[in-house]
Amino acid sequence: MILVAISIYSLVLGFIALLILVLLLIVLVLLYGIRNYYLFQNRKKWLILIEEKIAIAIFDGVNSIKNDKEINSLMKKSYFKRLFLSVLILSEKKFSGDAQRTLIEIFHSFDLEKLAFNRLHSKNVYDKIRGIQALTSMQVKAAIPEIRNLLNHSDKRVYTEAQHSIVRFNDFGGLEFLGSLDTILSEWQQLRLLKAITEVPEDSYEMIGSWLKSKNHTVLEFVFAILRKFRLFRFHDSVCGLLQAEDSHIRVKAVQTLQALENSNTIDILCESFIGENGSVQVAILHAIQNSHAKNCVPFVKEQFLSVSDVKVRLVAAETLVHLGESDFLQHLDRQNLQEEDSFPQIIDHALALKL
Amino acid sequence: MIEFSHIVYEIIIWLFLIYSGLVFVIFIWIGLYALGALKQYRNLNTHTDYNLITSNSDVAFFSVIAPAYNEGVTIVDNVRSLLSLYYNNLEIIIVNDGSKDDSIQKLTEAYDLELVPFFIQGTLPTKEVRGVYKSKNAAFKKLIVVDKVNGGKADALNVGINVSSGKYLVCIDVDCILEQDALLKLAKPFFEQTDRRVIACGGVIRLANNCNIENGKVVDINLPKTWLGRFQAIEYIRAFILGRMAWSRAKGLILISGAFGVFDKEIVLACGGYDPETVGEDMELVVRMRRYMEEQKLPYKVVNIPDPLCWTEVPESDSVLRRQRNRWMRGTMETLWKHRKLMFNPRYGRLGMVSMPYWFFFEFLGPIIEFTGYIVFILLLLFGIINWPFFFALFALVLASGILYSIYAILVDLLTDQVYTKGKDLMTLLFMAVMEPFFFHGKVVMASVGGARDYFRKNQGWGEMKRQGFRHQVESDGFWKAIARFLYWGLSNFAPIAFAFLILFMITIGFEAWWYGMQFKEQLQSATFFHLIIDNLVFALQLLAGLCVFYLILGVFAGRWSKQILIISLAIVLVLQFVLFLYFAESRNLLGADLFFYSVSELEHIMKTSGMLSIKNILLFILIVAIVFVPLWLAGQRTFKRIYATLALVLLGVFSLLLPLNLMVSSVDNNEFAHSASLSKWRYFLTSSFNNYLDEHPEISRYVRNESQINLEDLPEYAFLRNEDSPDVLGPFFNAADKTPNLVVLIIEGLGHAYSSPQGYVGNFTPFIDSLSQHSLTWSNTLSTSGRTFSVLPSLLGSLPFAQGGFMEQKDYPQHFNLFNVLKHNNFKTGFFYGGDASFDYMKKFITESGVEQIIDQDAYDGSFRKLPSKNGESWGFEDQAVLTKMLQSTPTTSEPYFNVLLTLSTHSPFLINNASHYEQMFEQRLRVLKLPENQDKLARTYKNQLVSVLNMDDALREFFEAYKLRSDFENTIFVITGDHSMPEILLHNKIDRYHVPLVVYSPLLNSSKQFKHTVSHFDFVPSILAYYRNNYQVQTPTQVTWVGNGLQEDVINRDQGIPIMQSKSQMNHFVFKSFHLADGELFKIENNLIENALQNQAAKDLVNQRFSLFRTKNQQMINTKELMPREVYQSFFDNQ
Repeated sequence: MILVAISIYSLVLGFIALLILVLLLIVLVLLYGIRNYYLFQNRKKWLILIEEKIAIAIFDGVNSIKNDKEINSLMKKSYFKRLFLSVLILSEKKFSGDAQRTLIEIFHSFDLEKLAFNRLHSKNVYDKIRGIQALTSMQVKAAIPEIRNLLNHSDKRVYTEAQHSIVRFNDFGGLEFLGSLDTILSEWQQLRLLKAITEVPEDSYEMIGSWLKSKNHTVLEFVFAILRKFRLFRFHDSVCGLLQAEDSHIRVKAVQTLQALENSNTIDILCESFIGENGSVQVAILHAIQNSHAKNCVPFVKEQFLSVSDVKVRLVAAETLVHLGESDFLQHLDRQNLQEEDSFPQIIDHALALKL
Repeated sequence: MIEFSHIVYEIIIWLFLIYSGLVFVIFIWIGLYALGALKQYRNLNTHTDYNLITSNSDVAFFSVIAPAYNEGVTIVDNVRSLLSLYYNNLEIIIVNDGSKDDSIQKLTEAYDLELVPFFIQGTLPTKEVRGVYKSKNAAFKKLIVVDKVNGGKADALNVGINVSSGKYLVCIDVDCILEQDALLKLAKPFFEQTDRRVIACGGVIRLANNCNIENGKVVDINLPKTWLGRFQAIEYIRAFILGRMAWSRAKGLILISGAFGVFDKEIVLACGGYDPETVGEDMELVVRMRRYMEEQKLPYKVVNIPDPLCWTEVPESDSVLRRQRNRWMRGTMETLWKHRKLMFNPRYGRLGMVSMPYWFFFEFLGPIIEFTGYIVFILLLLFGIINWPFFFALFALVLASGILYSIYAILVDLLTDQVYTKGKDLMTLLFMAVMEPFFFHGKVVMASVGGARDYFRKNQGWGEMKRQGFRHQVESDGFWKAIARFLYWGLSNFAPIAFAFLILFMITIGFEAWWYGMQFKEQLQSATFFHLIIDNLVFALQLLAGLCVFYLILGVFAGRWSKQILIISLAIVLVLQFVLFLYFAESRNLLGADLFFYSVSELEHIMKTSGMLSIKNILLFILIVAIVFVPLWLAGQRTFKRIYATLALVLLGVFSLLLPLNLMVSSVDNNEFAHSASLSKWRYFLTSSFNNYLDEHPEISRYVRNESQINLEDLPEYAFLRNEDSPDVLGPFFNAADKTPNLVVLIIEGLGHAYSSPQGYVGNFTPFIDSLSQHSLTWSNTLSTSGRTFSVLPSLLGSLPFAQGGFMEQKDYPQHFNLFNVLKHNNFKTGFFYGGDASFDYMKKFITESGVEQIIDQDAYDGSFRKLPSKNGESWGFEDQAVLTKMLQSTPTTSEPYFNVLLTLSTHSPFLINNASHYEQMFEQRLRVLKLPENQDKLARTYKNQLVSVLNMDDALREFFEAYKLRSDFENTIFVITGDHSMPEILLHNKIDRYHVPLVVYSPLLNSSKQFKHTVSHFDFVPSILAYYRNNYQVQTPTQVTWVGNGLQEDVINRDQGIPIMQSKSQMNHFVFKSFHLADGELFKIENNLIENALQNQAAKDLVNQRFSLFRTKNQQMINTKELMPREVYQSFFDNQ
């Protein structure tokens, strides 16, 4: 070669060396694939076996599985052991009461606690998460201090799993971390935490009040979700205060929460805050009026229907009027006078076609 | 000189190797990165509880949008499948895109639909919506069916977006079958978003062919039955499991499949929805969304999850597959073109710097480069230059790598657990992975190339439609409007071609610069390359400005043909650019109008002997033609919306005329070669041709050239005629002989002072000539009269003016005196000896008309003589040893004197000699003897080939003289040795170096030796040698002569006449007068030993110009009158016995 100081012969040799390497890699990949395939096939078989044995154990007691020779023999394989633990975690989500307690017994009878702790102590993020999940599902309270420490872990995936775990262990009390949370609580995490809370103790109201002052919007959203789920009416006024929040998304959530905590003043407060709000908050307020069936709001809604410029708000206002039994009003509106704006007739037709 | 074709061959091979290497590296990265992404996803989602979504009513609302066109056969089942999706807050919008079948009727019947008044909130522009249907049955309350006028998939999706009320849009093909938990899995990334907003999310699409489907659900997964389907199964695994997972993890994903993807509605609306003008609307939308996020500086990501969520049927016939891939390619090209601004634009972060370039270079260019590879392979096969071990090793490597990647993808896919897990299927897939490169890959490549072709054809169609529109308008518009429209049409069409040309031209200039850098690194400085690029850029702009005007004028007469003519013209410019610079690189001469002075056969001979006219080079030439033509043609299919680009180009071209390029040239003028190298070869060629035209047409020239003109009328009737009064400068140095001495003139091809003298800046590589000159009369500062061989015979032997392109070029020679006819008239036997074709440069014609009795050229040699080695079957002729020997053999030792002229050619390009290794050793020995300083040694080694041929010539002369010494006539012979010019192939320090040659007069009759330092020229030889013969041997010489020279006795400084010099047949552009040298309009001051320096002295310049002009006018007189002297002067000499 002239351009580069490499002879053709050297290049050919280089290619042949690479070719040999690629062929070796093909063999290695095939071997790795065959191994994976057998693992996969075993996994399928073992899954059926484990689920079957666990089902029997739930009905016949732990001893049936504890003394099962096949299971005991397979437990010597680490892969099977990990799979067994995984099935236990998944099963725990499906069962409750005695069945759930049986699962925990099985967990302890095969000394899977040790495996779960080993994984918790692992430096591998995914092992650590799996360890938290196992210890949480199997309610190993001894793990709480270590898991609590993980609330401040640098990896988001670890600390979110730890948050969920602590709430599962301590119920509402596990939410203490919210007070100092400065990271974003994803919608997914909110759903998980919300599901994990079974009750809100009365002595926690002060804490909730402080969370409602949080500058972390995702904490506010989550607290709103708690208020809605557990209908904590005493926070109605505090939520009203958040109708003035800077973020319109928070104001929408506040309206939705007030709808769940509704009292005799709620609709009036919402109507008062309607003027000057942006479209999405106005839509949320109209939906609240719709759901509260507040007949006294009919004049207000009629006025908004005729005056607002945002077609979406006008559409929801029309729908609200239909919900409030004011279809006649829409039907008998003098359409001739409304022709100037094309959307009116269509919105009216759209609303009148609603099936209640 | 390295063969051009070989360099091109290597460049092509290396480009392919580098590209393949990059593909190899990228595939390794994708493979490893995707594996990590898959493991990460599996680890994080094994225990995910999706019931969180289904059990919560507060979760976001999703709108599934499924456009349908003529899907009547399956639409009811497909909708049923959609209605069974697990997700509560959901609406399903079926958009019937003007189907011609019974889709709407079937849906109405199956789902109890009724037409309802529906207010569409969205404002994306779409085709008309005919109506919105909803079900009377509450069980189907999620279903909305929209009936609209046909507008294509993107338009239908936009209607769905307008109708939708969800926060997220799920855009799908209605014929796809979704897994029931598909939405749950796709929703999760949106719910998990924290610091980066998830704007789009896609899942893996699998093949439904041959799968068992019941109630809109896939219940049994099987591989497709056909090979075509199975190959696509592998292809989909590679694309979704490896490609998209890797790019998703790297945050570089720009494609969410149109078959199934979820998008953030707010961002989709902010971007304006789908683009109905593209066939690749899915990719285009994602790119536009990402572009929007980058422009808004909002953190975001596009996610792909490895779960198999969607099942679709893939084409199982070649024609449908071809159409599909054709469409994909067009979609890719449309998106890349539309968002070309993003390419390598750091403002767009990873999108601009990684994703877009990746798609351009590997997804778009990949098939085209592969296809080009097939063509190159066929060409190389035809050239016969394929190195088969290299080819097979590379071919096997490429195949094995492809197979490895497919096998790897199949086995990594096992991690997803849910698809091809049957042992038999797995084995079949592995087998297909091996077969794929042979039976499938080529089809995809060809379909993609077809897509690229159709992309441009489609645009061509639009262009033609526009033109029709234009003509129609012209008929109805007024004159000025028609002119304006015509200009708009012309300028907007010109711009794409002009820019394509500009890019291609500058690429060729880049190639030229690279070529010089490789070949002449030691001789050139960075300033040379800089000037080369600037000069050519300016030339290209000026050319385009001129061509634009020409194009518009042509457009008036030739209409659409003007564009074809423009494209062909520019392609020719590009191709000839290669020819011009390669000619320069090969010959060190700028090609100018001298091209027109060679006959076709001479040009053919030059090209053949230089090795340029080989089959390989011709085929490569054709390849270059194709390479430059195709982009121009493709650009010709496009039109710019605005004319500003063209106007800017034209204005730049016009303004560039004001640039002081000459000032820049002087900064790179470290040597003559660098100066020439830095010039635009095209500009030089055109300028030279123009000047030549002016030379041929003085009636025009006097108006164009701004120089003082001397009227022909002011000259005497025979301007060159004068009395012969040349003094005998040689006589005092010679002993008197008994009889008239013989004269042998040896003209050595390319014998320059620089390498034939101890004072030469390269070194003394003619040890024999040097030793001979110690015993000779030597004029070490002699000037040849041209930079080529064409003038040496008339100048040296006749002191004759040049006429138009050299004296010998004239059709009819004016009556004149020269050594041949004067000495023959004095009973000398005359002979001319040459190893090549004597008719070259019209030498034979000149010699014959001069009455030479013995003309020996290549036809006179028998098998005992050796030719110079051939290049591509062509040789210049016989080596110097043969010519010298032939002269010895052909010249009898008679009592009558003889005059022989011998012209050598072993030192002619391409400098191939016999017994080269011997002279290469001699070259090394010579270097050891010379002990040159390091720089000079390096310089000499740079020109090894040339100097080896010089040593060979010198050695041939040594043998010649040794043989001559044995002859009885040696003692009574005068030998003259000179060069016809210096080799332009060897570095020229100064412009004058090209003409600096030695003149050695040796004879055993000499009584003393002397070295003359003053400047003389070839023109001066004839007056002096004839004066010698006249004074000492009563040789009759004309009483009136037309010699241009005055004789060797006088330094040019002391003369009133100067020395005109022609650089080439078309350029009479040098003039030496007194101590000044005027070269191409630049003035130099000549110091001792012909070393010159630039001089800014207008008075001196004017003076030299005036003298030069005088000579030109005298020369022109000869051209016009075809006479040098009165007939009677000529006749009286020859009649006088």
